Amino acid sequence: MIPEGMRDVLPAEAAALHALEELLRARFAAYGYGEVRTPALEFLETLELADDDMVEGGYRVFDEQGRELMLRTDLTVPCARLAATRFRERPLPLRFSYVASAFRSPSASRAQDGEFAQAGVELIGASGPEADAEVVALLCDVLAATGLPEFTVSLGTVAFHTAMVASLRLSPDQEQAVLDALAARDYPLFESIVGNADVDEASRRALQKALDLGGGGEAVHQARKLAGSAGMEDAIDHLVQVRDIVEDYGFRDLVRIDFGLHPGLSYYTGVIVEAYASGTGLPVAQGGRYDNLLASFEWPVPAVGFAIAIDRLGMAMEDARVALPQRPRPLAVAGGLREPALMAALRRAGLDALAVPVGEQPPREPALYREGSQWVLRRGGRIARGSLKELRRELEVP
Amino acid sequence: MSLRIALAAGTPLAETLDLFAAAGVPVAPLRQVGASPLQELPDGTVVLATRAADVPLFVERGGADIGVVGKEILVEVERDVYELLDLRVGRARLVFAQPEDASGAWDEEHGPSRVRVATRFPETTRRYFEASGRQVNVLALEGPVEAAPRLRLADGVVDLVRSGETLRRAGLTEREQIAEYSLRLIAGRAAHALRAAEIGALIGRLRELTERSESGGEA
Repeated sequence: MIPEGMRDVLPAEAAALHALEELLRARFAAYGYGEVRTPALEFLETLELADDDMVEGGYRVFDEQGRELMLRTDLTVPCARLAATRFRERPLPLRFSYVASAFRSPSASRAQDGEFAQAGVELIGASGPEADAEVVALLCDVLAATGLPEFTVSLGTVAFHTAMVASLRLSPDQEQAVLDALAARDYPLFESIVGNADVDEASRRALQKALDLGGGGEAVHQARKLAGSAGMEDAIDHLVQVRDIVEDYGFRDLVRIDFGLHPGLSYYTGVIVEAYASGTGLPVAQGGRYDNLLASFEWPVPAVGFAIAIDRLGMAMEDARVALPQRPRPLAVAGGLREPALMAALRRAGLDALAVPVGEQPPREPALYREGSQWVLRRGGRIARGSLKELRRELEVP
Repeated sequence: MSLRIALAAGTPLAETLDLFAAAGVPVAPLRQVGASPLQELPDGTVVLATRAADVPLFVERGGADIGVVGKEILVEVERDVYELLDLRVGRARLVFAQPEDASGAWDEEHGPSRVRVATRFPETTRRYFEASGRQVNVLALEGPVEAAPRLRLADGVVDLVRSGETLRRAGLTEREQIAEYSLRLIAGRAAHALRAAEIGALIGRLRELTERSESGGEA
């Protein structure tokens, strides 16, 4: 009945998602990020301008004039387009946020629905560790606010890979092979290429340890040992600075440095960030610095941002059994359709009230129904009987 | 929290268990005949022994933190996981084989214009023949493939061989070796970050064992 990868969201899940989206909006607003809404359809050309990755799996549509359009495949490129075309004359930096769907055909390797909800921010026109740290801190803030008991934010950098590969003094073919192996997260392949190349044993060991250890002080220590080039030293210093500033924001022990982190999208140019929570194997958020994207729209300013995969975050919260406060269930009033004054009074009093047919004893709490000449209120496992006047106190909003 | 591990069942399981036992994981309960495929070990580690092709999915989606599976599966099904260590055991070769009496592998003059190949590795097979510019009709089977040529379903097979005995008994001759594979330790992206300490410790022990056996083997 519906295309593959599309889905309906039923009331219970929609309520939970709504609560989550409101929380995300509130945290984004707390840092001064203004929400934008961009159109679902963009010119194919616009998305292609940014990056080849952006049109992969995209749904193509033609308008009446035969122009090729595409459903947006993420929100970063539309935000960049919006900023470059409408905010050029404004003082920098710009701060935008969004909560919206993006679309890509489902496939086994993409592991997401054809329509997937994203929430994220873009900080445009600011560079340096302080700007990176604000965005990373906001991500930590949001995840902490969901009440998730176990999550971590990994920090890596594109610059490290580039500089590391350069420091190994490989042939151009080997360099490409090493970068491909890192992109495929294939460490045995990576090690065998480095092993066959003319790389000294100490560097090989340090490299392997820096990747094996993933995060923490020891990984930084090992990475420094093999930091042959100034580029690599700078990349490490930058990451450590970002982590320290995020800790100053109060998010201690949440951020770890991971030298193996590889950017999923090729438009990232600096720091990359990924967040993980138990209950989902894939990242609940991804982002990074993309200093060349705005230049595709002839406005060369730096930018950094992240996007949360709302469905995955929801799954992680469900797995951890953390739920955000939601509206209480409505009071089911038997014969409510024939009692407009009563229903209006209940709703004025702040109660959500739902009319169910007369004579039917509502199957679930809370419920209000007639039994002979009396009204019966079932709520919170308690039963009260009497006239509506007598039940008034019981009916008050808790 | 203890690790959750998905292991490829079948032939390579015994070698995997030997290696994990040597690395200090108490896997003994999994060796019992008729052991349940899902077990909680004495140290709290949860182990699932399942169909090899399903291991990467369990790991990618976080059903298991890490997994052990043959490289042939990882190249066949594209999954977003970390491939952390070559365990150097469970070695197998992927080969193209044909009935002994078949006329050569590719005979443009007298052979069929398109060769039918039965395999459990359709993607790898397609890529291999495409790369050498040969047209094939790939028949993806879930089960054993060696009977396909005799029953005229296919002109040849691409299959994983260890000793080669199965193919020989089916009257098939190896014509080309496509690749050589071994077992790999894989980790989910979330587990790689959230369980970095536990996974790092296990990798350290396994790496020592595999490197020792490798240098021992060469001596």
